[in-house]
Amino acid sequence: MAAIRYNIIRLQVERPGQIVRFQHKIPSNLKRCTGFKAVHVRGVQTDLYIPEIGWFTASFNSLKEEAIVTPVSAQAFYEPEVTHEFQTLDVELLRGQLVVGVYVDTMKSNAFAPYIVSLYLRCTEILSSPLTQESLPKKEFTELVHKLQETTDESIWKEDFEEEELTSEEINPDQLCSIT
Amino acid sequence: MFDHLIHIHQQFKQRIIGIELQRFKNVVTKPGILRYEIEAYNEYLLLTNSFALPIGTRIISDTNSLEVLTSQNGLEGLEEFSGLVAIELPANTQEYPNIEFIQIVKE
Repeated sequence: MAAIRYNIIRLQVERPGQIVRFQHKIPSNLKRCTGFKAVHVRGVQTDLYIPEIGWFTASFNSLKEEAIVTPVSAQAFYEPEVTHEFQTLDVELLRGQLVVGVYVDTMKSNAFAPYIVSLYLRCTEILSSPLTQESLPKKEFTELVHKLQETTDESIWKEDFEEEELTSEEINPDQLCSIT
Repeated sequence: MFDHLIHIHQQFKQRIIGIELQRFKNVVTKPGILRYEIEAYNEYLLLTNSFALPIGTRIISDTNSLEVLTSQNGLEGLEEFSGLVAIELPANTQEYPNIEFIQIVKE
């Protein structure tokens, strides 16, 4: 099994509306990035969840592939981190190329305090796409659904479909770990 | 001074992006209007006159963002934007410049 490596791009935001630029070189042994997560690390003290304190944009392979535009949220101080999920990404990496991007702060200036955000990139040494690997079972599933559609009532089919969606979390590659 | 067009062609060749069309595009700013939006989906806008923009001007796009600071005001380099491009002039500005871009439509 190939190793998964996490690249972390950490940025400090010091004034409201600041635009922070970054460039990062991913180690050349990594062949594909399969997920990303943008998080507020520390600094923003809030009683309520803030859905957006700013957003990241990033391109891969030295500006050849624009792949990420994502907001960063801030959790209320009394709530622990609620999710460890990565968002799916599917970028084949060229050797030694740059990840380039910016972070734009969008917080209200009256509530601003300096803070730190991170962009985590989940990359692997395997070249083949996890999406193509998943496509075969999906196709089989679609065929099964078509057969069910022919023989059963539509409402029953919808219920079955929802159940299948839930159980597919077990094989979700974006689930870093579960919270119990 | 470097040649903008040579630089653009060299860089887009490095990025393996074919150019279907290149042309100039101006955004004329007017007193009283501080925010402008341009759609540049599937194309690139390269800012050529950042030195003419008032300090504090912000250009925010899906792929790149720029705030004109004192230290950046004299820079000669090209800034590239794509997607929805929003231009925000500072609230207290007395200058309303023509903002000049080179528009690149990719193949």
